[in-house]
Amino acid sequence: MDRLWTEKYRPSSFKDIIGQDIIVERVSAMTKEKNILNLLFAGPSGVGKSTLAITIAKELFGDIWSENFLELNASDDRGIDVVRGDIKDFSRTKSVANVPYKIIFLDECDFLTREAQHALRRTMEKFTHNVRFILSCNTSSKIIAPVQSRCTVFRFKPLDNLYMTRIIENITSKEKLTIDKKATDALNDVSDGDVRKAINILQTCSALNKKITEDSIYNIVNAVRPTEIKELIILALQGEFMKSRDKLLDAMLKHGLSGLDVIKHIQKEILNLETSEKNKAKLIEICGEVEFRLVEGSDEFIQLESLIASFVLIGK
Amino acid sequence: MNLLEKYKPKSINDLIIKMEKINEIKRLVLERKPVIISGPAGCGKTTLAHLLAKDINYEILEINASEDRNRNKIEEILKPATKEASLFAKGRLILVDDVEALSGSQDRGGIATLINMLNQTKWPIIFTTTDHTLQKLVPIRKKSALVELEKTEDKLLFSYLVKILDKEKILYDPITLEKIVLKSNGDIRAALNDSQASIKEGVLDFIEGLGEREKTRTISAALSLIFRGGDFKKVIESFNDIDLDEAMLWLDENIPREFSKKDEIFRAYINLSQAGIFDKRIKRFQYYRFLVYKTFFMTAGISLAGNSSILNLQTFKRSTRPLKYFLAAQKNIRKKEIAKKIAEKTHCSTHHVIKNVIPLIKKIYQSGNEINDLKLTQEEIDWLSD
Repeated sequence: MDRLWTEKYRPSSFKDIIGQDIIVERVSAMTKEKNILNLLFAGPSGVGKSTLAITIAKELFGDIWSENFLELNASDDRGIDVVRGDIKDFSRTKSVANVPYKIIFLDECDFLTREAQHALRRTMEKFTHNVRFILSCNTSSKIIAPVQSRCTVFRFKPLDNLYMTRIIENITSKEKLTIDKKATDALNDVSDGDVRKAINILQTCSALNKKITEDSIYNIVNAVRPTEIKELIILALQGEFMKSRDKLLDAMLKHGLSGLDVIKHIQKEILNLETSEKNKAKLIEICGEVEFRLVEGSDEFIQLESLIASFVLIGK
Repeated sequence: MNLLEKYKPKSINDLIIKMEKINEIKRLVLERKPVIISGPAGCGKTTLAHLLAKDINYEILEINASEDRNRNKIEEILKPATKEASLFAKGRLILVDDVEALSGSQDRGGIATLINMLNQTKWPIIFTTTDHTLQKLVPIRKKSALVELEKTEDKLLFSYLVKILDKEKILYDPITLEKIVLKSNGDIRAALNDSQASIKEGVLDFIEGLGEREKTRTISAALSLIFRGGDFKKVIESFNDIDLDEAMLWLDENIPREFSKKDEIFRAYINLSQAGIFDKRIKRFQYYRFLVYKTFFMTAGISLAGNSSILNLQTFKRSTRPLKYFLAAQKNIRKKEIAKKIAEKTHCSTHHVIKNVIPLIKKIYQSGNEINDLKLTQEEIDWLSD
C-alpha cells in the first residue's frame, strides 16, 4: 500500500466535497470573490471540516497555497503561547499571492481553555488586516461567545448514508475491491457518518482480504475496540469496586483514552449489556451525570470512580 | 566517585539529544557555517560541541565565561587559530561558550571582535547560549545558523539515570527517581548532581524539605482522623498543613480500603467528585473562597460517608496512580512518535490518531502490509507489526 486512503481520496476541489452541499456552495461563493471572513466550522470528526479549509486555500492561492496556509492543532499539547508565537511568525510576512491575506486554520478549538480562547480573540483582532482565521471544533458551545461572534459559523452534519455509500463505492471500484450491499450497510453502521473512520476501516479490511464482507467489517471493529470497558462495567455491577477501577486505569493507560473517551465507550456499551431495560436507563442516567461532572470537575479519574461506585450500588 | 565526571558522554552517540539536531549541527560545521546552539541549561550544548569536534577530528579552541573576554584577549586566542591549520587534527572548531555572558566592562568590544572573527575565520564557530533572542546577539545571529535544543525530556532523563544507577548498583525506587527528574527540569547536570547527593549507603534517598517519611506520617494522621472519626472541627482542619492534590490521591487510594459497604464507597466518591468540581471552579473563576468547600468535601464529607464504626488497623497506602501514568507515558513514546507522523500527514491531532487510527493501522501492519508514504523507521514498523 502506498498511502493512507484518507489522504489519497481527500477531495481537492469544492465540487468533489460530498454531502455538505449548502455549506460548500456558500463557501465557494466567498472564495470566488476572494472575500473570506473568519469562519468557524462546527461538527463531528470526519465530515469535511479540514478538507473544506484546505480546499479554500487551494482555490484561493493556487500552487502556492501551502505557503499561505498555516494549519495548527489546538489539542496537540502546545500551549497557547506557542500557538500565538507560530501565528505571529506566520502573519508577520505578507501573502505572496494575489490575495491580501493569509489563512490560519486552527483545528480542534474545543481543546482551548477559556483563557486561551480569550487570547485567541485578541490575536484574531490584532491580525485582522492580513490574516483570516478558520476555526474548527466539535461542539460550538465550547467556543466562547466573543470568538463565535467574530466568525461566520457553519454547522456540519454527520454524512448521510446515501453520500457515504457513494464515497465507499468510488474507493472500492478504484482499489478493485469487491463489496456487497450488506457490507456497505455494515460500514455505514459502524462509522456513524464519519468518513475518515469509514475509509480507515475499509483500508484495514482490504489489507486482510480484497473481498469486503459484513463479517470482516464487524470483526475489525470489534478487534480494535477496547475490551476493558465492558469488563469494567461488569465488574462494577458485580460489586467489585477495586477490580473495576484497576481495569479502568488499564484501559486509559493502554489505549490512551481520556475520561470523556471512556464515558462515551461506557455509555455505548451499556446498551449492549444483558440487563433489564430499567437498569440500562438507570446506568445511562448515571453516565449523563458523571459526564457532566467530568466536564465541570478536575481529576477525571476520580469522576469515573464515582461512576463505578454508583454502578456498584445499582448492581447489588 | 563523581557521577558527572564518570559518566561524561564519550561520543555524540551517548548524548540525550535528538540525532537529527546533532546531524544538522555537524552538517553546518562541516560546511564551515557559524552556528548558534541555543537551549536551556544542562541540555548538553557544550558537551555536544566538544564531542562533535572529536567526532570529526577537529581541534577545539574554547573561549568560555571563566576567562576575560575583552577584545585583546579574544584576539590573542583566536587570531592565530583562524589562520594556521592545526598540526595533527584535520581542522579547528572555535567554541564560544555562553556567548550571552559576553558583556559588561570586562568584555568590552567582545561582540564586535567576534563579528570580525566571523568575517575572517576559515574555521567553523559554535556559539552556545541559553537565550538566542537577546538583543545584543542580533549581530551574531545575522551571520549564523541557529539550532535550538529542547529541554531534555523527563522520560529520557529518567531512563538515562536508571542506566547509571544500575551500573553503580545503587538501589532506588522509581518514585524517588521521578522526583529528582522532575526537580531538575531537564537539566542533566542538575539531575546527576542531585542523584549523587542523594545516595546514602548504596541507596537513593532523596529528601527535599520535609522528609518523605515524615510527610507520610502527617498524612496518615490526617487520614486516620477522617476515616476513623474524631472531633468534627478537627476533622475539617485535618488537611491544613498538607498539599491538597496529594491528599486527594491518598483519599482516592484508601476509600475502598477503609470503607467496606457499597453505599459508603458511593457517598465517599460523591464527595470526592464534588471536591474535584470545586477545585476546577477555583481555577476557572480564580475565586479562592471555594477552597473552603473543596476542603470540606474532602474532610468532613468523606468522614460522614462512613457509618460503620469498625476499627480498621491496616496502614494507609500511597497511591501508585501518578507512577503508573508516568510509566505508561514512557512505554508509549514510540506510539506517540508514530502518531505524530501520521497526524502531520492526515490533518488531525496526535490524540485522535492514537485513539482511532493507530489500532487500525496496527492491524494493517500485522497482516504483513506496509504504508510506504508514512516513512516510518524500522523500529516503528516493528512496533506496529508486533
